[in-house]
Formats: sequence, C-alpha cells, structure tokens
Amino acid sequence: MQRKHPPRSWSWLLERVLPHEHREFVLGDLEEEYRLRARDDSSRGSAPATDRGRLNAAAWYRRQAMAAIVRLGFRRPSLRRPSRGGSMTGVVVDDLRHGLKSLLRAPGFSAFTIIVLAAGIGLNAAVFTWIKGVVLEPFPGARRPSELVVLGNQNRDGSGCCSGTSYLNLEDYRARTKTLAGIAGYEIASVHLSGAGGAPERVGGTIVTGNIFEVMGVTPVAGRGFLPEETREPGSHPVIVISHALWQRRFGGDPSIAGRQVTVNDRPFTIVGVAPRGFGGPMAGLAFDVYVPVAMQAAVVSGQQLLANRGAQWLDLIARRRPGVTLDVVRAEMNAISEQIEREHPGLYENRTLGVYPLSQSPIGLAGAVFPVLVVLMAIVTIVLLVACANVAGLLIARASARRREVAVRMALGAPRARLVGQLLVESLALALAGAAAGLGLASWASRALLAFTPATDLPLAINLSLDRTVVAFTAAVAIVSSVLFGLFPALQSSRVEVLPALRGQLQSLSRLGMRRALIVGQVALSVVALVAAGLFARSLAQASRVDPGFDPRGTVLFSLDLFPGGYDAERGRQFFTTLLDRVRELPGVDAVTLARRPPLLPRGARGTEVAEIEGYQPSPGERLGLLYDVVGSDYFRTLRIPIVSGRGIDRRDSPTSPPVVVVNEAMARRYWQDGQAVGRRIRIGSRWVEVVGVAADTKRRGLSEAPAPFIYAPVQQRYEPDTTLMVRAAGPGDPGRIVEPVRGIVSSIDPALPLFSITTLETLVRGASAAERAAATGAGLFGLLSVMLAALGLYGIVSCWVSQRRREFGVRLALGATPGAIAGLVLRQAAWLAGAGVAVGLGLAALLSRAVAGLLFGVSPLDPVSFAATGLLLASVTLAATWLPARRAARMDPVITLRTE
Amino acid sequence: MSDLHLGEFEQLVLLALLHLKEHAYGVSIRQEIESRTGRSVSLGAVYKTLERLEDKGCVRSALGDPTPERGGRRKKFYRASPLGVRALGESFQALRRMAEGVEGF
Repeated sequence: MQRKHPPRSWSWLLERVLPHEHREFVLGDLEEEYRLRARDDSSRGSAPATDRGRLNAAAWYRRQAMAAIVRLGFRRPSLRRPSRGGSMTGVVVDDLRHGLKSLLRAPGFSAFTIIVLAAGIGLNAAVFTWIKGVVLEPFPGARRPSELVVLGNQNRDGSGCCSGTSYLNLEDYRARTKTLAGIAGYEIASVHLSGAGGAPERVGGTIVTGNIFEVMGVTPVAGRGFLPEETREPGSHPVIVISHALWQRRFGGDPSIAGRQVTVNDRPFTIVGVAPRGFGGPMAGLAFDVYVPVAMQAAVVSGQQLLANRGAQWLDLIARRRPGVTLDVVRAEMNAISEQIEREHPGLYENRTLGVYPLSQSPIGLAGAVFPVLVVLMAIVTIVLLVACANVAGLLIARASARRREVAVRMALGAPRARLVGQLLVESLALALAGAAAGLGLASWASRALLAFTPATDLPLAINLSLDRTVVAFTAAVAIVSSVLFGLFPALQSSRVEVLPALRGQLQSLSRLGMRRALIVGQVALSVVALVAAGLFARSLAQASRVDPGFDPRGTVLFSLDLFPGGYDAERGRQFFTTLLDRVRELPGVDAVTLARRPPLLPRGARGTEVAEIEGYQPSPGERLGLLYDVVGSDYFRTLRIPIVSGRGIDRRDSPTSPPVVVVNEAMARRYWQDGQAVGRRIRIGSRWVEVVGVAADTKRRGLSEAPAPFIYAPVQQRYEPDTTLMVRAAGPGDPGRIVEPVRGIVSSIDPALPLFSITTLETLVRGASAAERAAATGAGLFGLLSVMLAALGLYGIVSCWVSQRRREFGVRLALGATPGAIAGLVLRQAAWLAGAGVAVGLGLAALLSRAVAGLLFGVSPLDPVSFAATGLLLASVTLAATWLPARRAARMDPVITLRTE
Repeated sequence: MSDLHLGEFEQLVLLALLHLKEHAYGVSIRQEIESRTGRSVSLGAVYKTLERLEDKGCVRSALGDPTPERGGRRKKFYRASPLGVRALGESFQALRRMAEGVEGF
C-alpha cells in the first residue's frame, strides 16, 4: 500500500542535512518522482519490494535519499561560495569525515592506535560487565534493583554474621516493618523433576515465600505468581513456578503451560506460572529453575515442619526498601523489631537482629565475595587505559609534527584556532570510538574468560554477562573521556604551529620532547603500580596454596547424592549408607571411603546448631552457644587424614542404637574445656545429651585464612541427613578419576534411579578456596604486563626520536674518537633517566595505594619487599630491551653520513 | 582552448542538458542518463556534478514555479553555457585523438 507522501523520516532527515542551495530542489525532485513511481506501483498491483530488480517507490526513495546524504550532505562552507547553510551538527560530522579521511591516510598509525585503545577500553568494559552482572543489575528485569537489600540474621553488635531466619520471625518482621516495602525468604533446594516434558532430571530450585516476585520486582510471564492461600497452609497447594529457561527447554515454550502437571520429588505438582526471561531467582549470579512455595517445604527439603518452628533458622532474606529510605533507618527499625520479638519469645531470639546489607556487600552468595576482587581488577584496567591513553597521546604529538604543513595551510586560509582544535579532537574521538567498537569484541571474550576463576560449586551459576545497552553506554562514555584525555593536549599543541615556516617546509625549532617525556614517565609509573599489585597478589596466592587445610586433599574424589527425592526415610537411608560404604570400601583402588554432609571448603559451608548446654563450662550471661557442625560417616577422619588428638573418631560402632556421641575439634576443646579434658564430657543439644568421644585436629572449613572455630562432628547413623557427599580416597598414585566409574557402578547396583552429581575432587575444592586471590593475581599480572609492554613501546619510540634528533652530535662524537660503546651508553643513560623517574614515582604510588588492598592479601604485607624489588628489576630489564635497538643504531652510525646531511 | 577538464560524469550530464534543452532539471536529467546509458544514477550525484559544472561556468541555472507534485517546491532548470559546450567538444576531441590508432578499438 503506497502512501501519498514520501517516507517521512527520510524527508525529515534530508531537510536537516542537505545544504541550503540544494535542499528545496532535491527534495522537490525526489517527491515528484516518488509520486510517479507510487502511481506506477499501484497500477501494476501491489508489487513485492523487488520485482525483478525494480524497487517500489518507498524503497527507491530511501536509496536516493541515502545517496543524496552521502554526496551532498553536511557540506562545509567552501571558499568560493558564500553559504547560508550549515548547522552545528553539520560542522561536527564534517570534521568527522575529514578526520576519518586523514586517519585512513595513515593506516599503520591508526591501526596501532585503535588496537591499543581497544585493549584499554575493552578490558574496562569486560570488568564493568562483571560488576553489572553481579552487583549493579544482578537480577535482570527486576524493577529498581537499587532498592533491594539483603537481611542477615546476626548479633546486635554486628558480629556473628550471618545465619538464616525462621519463618515465624520473618512473618513478624514483615508484618511490623514500615521502612521495607516487602521481605521475602528463600532457601536453596535442588529437586528431581519427572513426568511430562522429558527425561527425569535434577534441577536447581528454591523454596520461596509467596511474595518473592513482588519483592524482587518481576512479573511472571505466562501464568501468575503465588496466591496468598498457596503459601499459608502447609501441604495444601502443590504448585510451582518455573523459570523461563526451563519452560523453553523442557516444555517447548508451551503457551498453555499454566495448569500443566509435573512430578517433583515423586509428587504431583501444578505449574502456575513462568518467571520472566533472564530472571534467575533471589541469589545474584545463580539461576534457579523451580520456585516452590514455603507451604510445600516438606516435599522438597528434609526437615520437620520448618514453618512452625521459630528456632529453625533456615531462610535467607531479601527485601526491598521503600523509596527514599536509607539503610541506617532500616537498620534502626530492624533492631527495634528484634527487641520486640525477643521480649515476646524469651530465650528464642536473644541478642539477635537482622543486619541490613546492600547487594554489593551481601554476606550470602556471590556478590559480596566477588565485589572486592572486581574493584581491584577495575582499578588495574583503569591503569591500563590510562597507560594506553598516554601512549596514544605521545603518538599523536609525534604525528602532529608531520602534519604541520596541513595545519598551517588551514590556518592560513583563515580557519580559527578553535575550529582546528575541535577538528583534531573529533579525530581523536573517531579513534576512540573505533577502539571502543573493537574493544567490545574483546570485552565479550574477556568477560567470559573470567568465568574460569569462579570456584567449582554445585550451585547453578549463571552470571548475566551480556553486552547490553548499559555496557555499550559505559563503553561509549569511556571512549569519549579517553578521547579528551589523550587528544586534548596534542590538539592544542598542533594548533600552535608557526604558519610561515611550516608553509615553507622548514623544520620547526627542534620539537621539544618535554611532554612526551612526561607521558613516558607516567606510563612507566602506572605500569609499576599494576605490576606491584600483581606481585602482591601472586605472593598472596603462593601463601594461600601453602596453607595446611588440616586434611590431605590429594587423590580424593567427591560425589554428591541426595536420598530425599527418592523417598528414602531415615531407616532406609541409614541402611543405604552402610551398604554403600561397605561395598565401595571393597573396591580395589580404594584406600578409604566416608560420608560428610558438607566437605570442608565447599562454598556453601556448614550449618550451625544451637547448643543448649556444655558440661563443665559456665557460659557468661548473654553468651550464645551456637556451633558449627557436620554429619559424617564412619572413617571420616581416617579418610581425610585428619589426626585424632585424643579419644577416637566416628566409626562403625556408632549406630542408632548405641549411645549418642560426637567428636569435637581442638578449637572447641580449647575454648570450652580449659583443663584439656574433652573426652567423656557431655553436651546437650535441644533435649538430647551426647558424649564427646574424641578430639580431632583443626581443619579449615570456610576459608583458608580463617581462624579455627569450634566444630562438632556427629555420626550420620545417629543424626540422619539424606543429602550427603561421598568421599573416596584412591589408593596409590595415579589419576584418582579412575575410581569414578566403579563407584557409579556400585551406586546404581544398589539403587539404579539414584543420581550422582557434582563429581569433583577435594583438591579442586581447596584450589577453589583461593579463587579470589588467583583471579586477582592473574588479572593484575596480565594487565600489568600489558601496561609494561605499552610503556616499553612508548619508551622505544621516544628514545628513537631522541637519537634521530642527536644524529649530528653523535656523528661529531664518533668523529672525535668516541667508541660506539660510549654512544650506546649515552642512549641508555637517557632511557634510564626516563624509566628511573617512572619507577621511582611508581614505587612511591604503589606504596601509598597498596594499603587499600591489604584486606585482600593473604599472609603478605602491603609493602612486601619481594614484590617491589621484583617489579623494579622487571622494569630495568624492560628498559634495557626497549633501548637496545636505538642504542645499537646510534652506535653504528657512520659519522661521515650523519655529518654530511643538513 | 580552455583549460577546463571535464570528468566522465560531467560529460554525461552536459550531454543530457543538450538533449533536454529547456526541460532539463534534476528528475529529467537523471532519467535521461539512466535510460541512455543503462546505469543507475543517483540524484545526489547529478546535483553534485551540476554544482561543480556551475562552479566551472559550464552550466547556468534558472528557477521554475512550485508545483503540488513537488510538495509546493520550485524546480531548478539547467542549461549548458557556451563555455560548457566548448569544453564538451574539446573533451570529445581529446578522447577521439587518444583513441586513434589503438588496436581493436
């Protein structure tokens, strides 16, 4: 259907862009011919856009308009014709075209500069993508994520962070808060899906309170969220909401998904809605596939009815502030409410409150742990960018002398200086934007490469690393700022040209290298800072790897399994464990085997339990006896090679019918039984008394730098937990992976339907504990080397320049009998001055700044002499390498030739 | 002999002007060149060339009346000037003299 008027957006564009002298006539011609063609089209009948190569009227108009813009648009006022046209944008775009042409005329220079800028800008974009994915916009699609906060159960003085909150307490906070628009709770729970849609599979899920989508600010597509009645009565409404990805993957994006049935952990559930695309749940960096309302908790996690138990601290909380409310106000209110709860339920909530954390400092999950490393990396890539800008500025200054004539001509023709500076700045902008475009490609690769540093975890990791509008906007902003940084001074300098000498082709008074020298010193100094940081982190990493975790991680394979979805009760479960351990133990190639609910150094860590009483210890008033514990199988200490300091470990005599026992660690014995007699003492947990039968050496549980905390080990046969980790130590040297298949075989022979997942090794977990140090060290190291290379190139450039300028002087010296070695020495001394100044400034800066990262360093002082010295040495060798060629060239000059020129 | 040198497209445009006489304006010039040479020609290129020719003095323009088909805009008519005609002739001669004796041409 052809319109009577030509395409309006194009005619509008032409009005803006065409110069005055042609505007009316070109537009008139185009419109006239357009109407003819449109009439022609409709008389032929509605033709497709290309009918044997013939365009329809609108397409023809578009093509002509584009050609007209290219050929006639943005014309700068010419010298012959007084023009009344030309707008501001016209001038800028005109400069852009001119700048592009001049850049294309120097392809080597342009290519090199663009590559350098791409590296600097691209790396910044990569780190920013991470910061955006983990901290700024960790919940894609969520409304106003800055209002979200994490609430952690902790002591009123801020210590003891953080445990979960019970459902009843959550409800109390929710009902009474006026500063928070909503509080939602969640708990991770993987589930077993079967039934409609595909093969049975295990997916990551989360138990949530009904208001989760509302609090997070997302709306389910297809279907709905949870209704209030679905989250009230335990067990009454078996409904779930699924993720967008699961909807596409398993259900083919079925439009009538709401109402479909699916089997979850062998029970029928109804799907009532689908979460929006890209939304992964309330934990930053993780993506869950299934959302189960709290009322259905018993079907999904083992545990007595957790909803009614005010002491069961199992829910993590996320909340949304009301607009305009500050964190401190929320904190004050949380404290006030916690005092009310403590009064109303004495003994159950002593001295506890909800701490309020912004997402970037969340004690739970990825964001809080990763953020400090990202900040460090951001600082280092900023250094790289500054070095790149300084490098490019130096090149531009050098190039400016080559373009003196061109600039002089333009000034002679009457161009104002400001206009020239503007045009040169636009050229710099073009370089920066080209670098940014290339840099985005680098960013895409680099941000994915950083994923290699995330520690192994059985949680469904999904960080949004897409290069969306925010990242592009950030990159463009960085490009614009960079273009001013590296372009302003060279532009100003270029325009300060002496017109007449330049036109005559005379050399300007020897271009002083002053500014370029300063830039080199700056580049060297910044590189030094980056390398010192790299050195500090590398040493940290080395220290971390040397830490004794308290157990022997070599040659041990871990298998995760969960009996709960399979419908095992405590009795069957215990039986299963016994059979499993017996059979695996008999495998050739297996040295020892055991179970543990959570192996040490797993990111999700151990649970805490409230201990009511410790025999032989008098708690001070207000002191909480909350201890970490794990549930382990027999032979645990032998398998992990944790020494037993006194008494015994957990072994087969500990059964449901034998006296309840526990083993404690040294830290606990030290803390609570100063007389050293732990074995034989009893502890009361709830109403149950258990006896301490052994003391084990301390191990690292949560991190490599932690001080040992009191810890209790309970036998799984006495304190049954259905989800556990099978830990198998392989006998003898060689790849421990060889026992994976035999163990799988045994598990499936006992229960073919039971899946084993998250198969990894203990060594991997230990390595994962130093993931942050490794990421920081590797990132800082690579980027530091990049900076140093750029600085070296800059140094080479300026020294070469200096050598050329001193040609005559060297010629004279050589003629007067100086040795080539002496000449080379002169060159080296020049370079050494520059580099030395840079190193001195850099080391000083590094000493000042390193204090800021002291918190991330492990066993290394921020003024670690080894790192500083090594950096100095590296810079010295780099300086030597960079100057070698120019020095050689200088020494090899033939004095006859050099003295003859000029 | 003038020292005006005409580019290839400039020659085509001038020839179109000679064909079209007093009816030469953007649309007709473009269509004339397209139909005779079989090339697809953009209006922008035509105007650019006319501007250059006008600068060189080879072409003169005059304004016409506005019409509704043109959205109320005026037409600009172009004619070849005597200088332009002479320059065209010289270009033609130059080409012919160069081609003389070239084998297979």
